[in-house]
Amino acid sequence: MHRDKEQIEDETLTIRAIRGQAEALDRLLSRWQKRIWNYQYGLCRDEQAAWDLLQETCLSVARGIQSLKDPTSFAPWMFRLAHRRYVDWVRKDARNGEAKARVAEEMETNQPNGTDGLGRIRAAIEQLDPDHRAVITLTYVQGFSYDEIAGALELPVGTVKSRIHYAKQKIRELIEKES
Amino acid sequence: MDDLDSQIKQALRNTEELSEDKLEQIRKDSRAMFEKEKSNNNKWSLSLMIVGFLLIGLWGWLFYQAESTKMQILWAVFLVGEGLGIAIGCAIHFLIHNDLVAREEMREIEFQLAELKEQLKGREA
Repeated sequence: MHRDKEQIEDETLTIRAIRGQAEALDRLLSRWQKRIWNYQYGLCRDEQAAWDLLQETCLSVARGIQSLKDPTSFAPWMFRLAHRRYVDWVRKDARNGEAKARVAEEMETNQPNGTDGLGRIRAAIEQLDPDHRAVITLTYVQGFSYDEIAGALELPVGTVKSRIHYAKQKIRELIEKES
Repeated sequence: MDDLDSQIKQALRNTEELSEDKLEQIRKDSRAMFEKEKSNNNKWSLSLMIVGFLLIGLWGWLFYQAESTKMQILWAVFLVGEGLGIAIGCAIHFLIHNDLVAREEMREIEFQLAELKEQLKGREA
């Protein structure tokens, strides 16, 4: 199986962290923090919440990495923790109500920006619900396989495939409607 | 719409700059949590080991004190059973440790190979 340098380095750092080296954890986190922040921000559309979620995710990683069984699966495992923290955040009713209002407001202000091709696609992605945004982000930004997305979101592979298909179709429809 | 995939990829590319101070603070907190968790794990392992050896001592003492052969057999079974349990536990621990060390070495070699491949490609180009 061909793997690139980044994947090999991630696995080496994960093994070192499992063996108790704090520097390795530090380096792993610095490699993944921004991606996790972007993923969580993409879902919750709230900057402060994205920072809080990142903090909670990193603490969960620090707590659990020594019991991680498979060092090759660090990235999907970290995204699984990130997604769980997001789901917990959504479940907090009071904050959720507030967040929904903010997301709706943001979506309204974002819509008119989609005049060029990429802007239209961005606006269309904004209009997807978080479940579909999650699979789209993991596919196109993180480059995860179906299996890795299924592991990260704790969903069957079939559901992942159908969500990606639906999300792409929805994006197409929204772009066509806009143009 | 054939290039929808690449367009989505481009649209999702985030150029936002995140505060390095905040990221650093999160890493510091995580590191503190990691050290705390590690010391908790060590404490647990040490406590379990002490309890294990105390129990072995107890079974040995009971075996030595037993007045009938039946009781001696019973305590001997406990003693041997626990000894075996500890031995198997240690063996599993060392196997996992050795496996991790071997995997780490393999990944280092794989990394060096990947670097060499890149250098060769660069030269060819």
